[in-house]
Amino acid sequence: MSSEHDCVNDELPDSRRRDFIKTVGLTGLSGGAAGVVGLAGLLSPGEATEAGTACQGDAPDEARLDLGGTPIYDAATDDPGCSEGVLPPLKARVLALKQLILDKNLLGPNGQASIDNFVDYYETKVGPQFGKAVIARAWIDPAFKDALLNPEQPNFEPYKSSDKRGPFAATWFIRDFLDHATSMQGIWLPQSALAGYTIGPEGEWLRVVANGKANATAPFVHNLVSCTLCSCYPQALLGVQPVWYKSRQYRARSVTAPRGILREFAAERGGAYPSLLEAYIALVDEVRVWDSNSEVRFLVIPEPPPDAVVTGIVPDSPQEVALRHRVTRNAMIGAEILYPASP
Amino acid sequence: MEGPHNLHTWTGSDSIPDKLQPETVVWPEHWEGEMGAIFAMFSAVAFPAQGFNLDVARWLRETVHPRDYLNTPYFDLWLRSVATFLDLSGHAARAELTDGYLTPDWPSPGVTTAVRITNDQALDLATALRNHALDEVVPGFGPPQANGSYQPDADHHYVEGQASNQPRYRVGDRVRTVLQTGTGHTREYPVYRGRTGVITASYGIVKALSTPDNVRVFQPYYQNAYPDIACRDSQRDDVGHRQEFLVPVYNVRFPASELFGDGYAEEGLYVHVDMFEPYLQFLSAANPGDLNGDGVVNLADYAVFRAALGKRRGQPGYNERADYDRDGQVSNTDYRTWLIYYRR
Repeated sequence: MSSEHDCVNDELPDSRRRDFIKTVGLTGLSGGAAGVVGLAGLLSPGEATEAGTACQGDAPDEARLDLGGTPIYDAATDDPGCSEGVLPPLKARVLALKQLILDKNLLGPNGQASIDNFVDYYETKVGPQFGKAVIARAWIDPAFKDALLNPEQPNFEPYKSSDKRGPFAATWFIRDFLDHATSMQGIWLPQSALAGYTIGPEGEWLRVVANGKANATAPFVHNLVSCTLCSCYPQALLGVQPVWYKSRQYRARSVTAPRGILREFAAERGGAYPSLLEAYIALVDEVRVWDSNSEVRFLVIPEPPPDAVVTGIVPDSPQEVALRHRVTRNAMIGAEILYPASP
Repeated sequence: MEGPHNLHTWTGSDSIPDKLQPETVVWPEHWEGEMGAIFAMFSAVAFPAQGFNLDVARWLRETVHPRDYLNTPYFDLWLRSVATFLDLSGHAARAELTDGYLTPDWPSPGVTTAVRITNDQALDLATALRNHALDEVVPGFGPPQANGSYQPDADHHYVEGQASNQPRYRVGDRVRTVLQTGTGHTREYPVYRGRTGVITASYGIVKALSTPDNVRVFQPYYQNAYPDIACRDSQRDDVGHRQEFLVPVYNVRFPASELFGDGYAEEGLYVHVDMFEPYLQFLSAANPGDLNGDGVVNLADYAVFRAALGKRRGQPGYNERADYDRDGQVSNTDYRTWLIYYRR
């Protein structure tokens, strides 16, 4: 069963994959399906071919397989006795749903414009550049970093005596930084673009955690963020979550094997990256996985890359701006570490 | 709900896809952004008063048949969530969703095609699951009242729509998570149930405040409703509205061995999970004699103990921190225990 499933996912080109599903795949995909789809699901592969071709299902969506496996919907047809019902491609169904919603004015009279505005916000305004700016500032300004990590008892003014102190005050400190840093002018958003939130959607209840040692005697900690149920993500600082973050593979494994996640990413880069990662992992005493199961969002301050200088940097200087470019989105989730510029 | 969305610890899946997706790629395809927009605007703008919110949306995603769930791409789950809501709420006729809706420019510009958005089986299944869940037990609340509404059980004291910001537990408390198995939406996932952990952060709970022009007033505390109730957008006429209970939220730290078994997960691993107060049962405090939480054990704590003496669980004045032997009553036996802490 699993080998057939793997074939469907990995080895067959899309056109052949559909044929494969229609002939052999269905009987192999799920034993549990047989009871629901009726006799056709129990047929041998050869017989299932006939049943499959008898169905008038639309073509399955082949474009987005990497997010969920095969696009088969067994028993998803209204035709009695049909073993394979497939709905139209996902893109078509999204367009149909959108049209229905627009026709009914469910998003107001200017529904398409509202949708376009939303898409535009995520495509052109918000993105990991904000998170990178926060990380670079935390590296060069230990007091700012300390405030982000200890938002209930920040150790410097004006935060120390502010009524904004509390478990999610990091959001406020970040807003304050982004509003006032001269190097963020023209990059950071005006309040009118924040949809009524302090720093934007998916960032109102933010916790910042840091990799490395909190002090000389503390354990070396690595943090990894996951949303094991779905895809919650600090969008206000990182933009839209990447495909891998939403994948069932990442969600399933991140809680038990975070070092394995790090290794898989390093192996994907190849070259010297895996050995550089192993040197980092050898330092790690403790791994903390943060499961984003509430509306709280997590941001990881990674260790600076080994060839980066973070002391003696003047805020808003070109050196600070250069440090931002050394931060990666994946490192702010903890799925990767930061490597030397030329490993 | 119990189902394949709770795939924590599942083994055997292939490698993680698109690990090096460029940071400049927001959505691999434009329509994915449009689907995201529809979903987000439904929960934030269009229908919150009529029962569509994040928790309802997540719940509806989970009603996809377990056999199909893993074969359903990410944005398809959101599509099904929205389509199911339109069906349940009556905003769209069933036939519009299942018989093919006329869609312009598909499959090519200038062409209009009837496209089936979802199917009857999926909508029937979601409806059945939902009706079942509306009669079900919820942690901290028990079964619904005769009129279908939920009220806290004898051990919890929440008032619908109000936030106390008075967390019952403290950082350092050892807690055990409750057991449950249900068809409603919960954030207490199976691997985190019935486990012992330590509270590492207390997020409080306050009501969201906004200015007249809809800008959120910053408050550094948790502000979202208890999902297990908020997901149950009741269609019952006798309730007539979606109930929102605001309960304190905590972050709880579990050693990997407690969740997965000794030696089965990586070394030195801790999983931090946010927990809504009704998911938690008190086990012990970091400093058990310190009943008022001021950091020291003194006569002020005795006053707290004295106020709870003789009270049983469920009675006003009962204090689980003073019930050291966990027998459901604060008694003289507990007093002798407190005295030991006091004399230390």
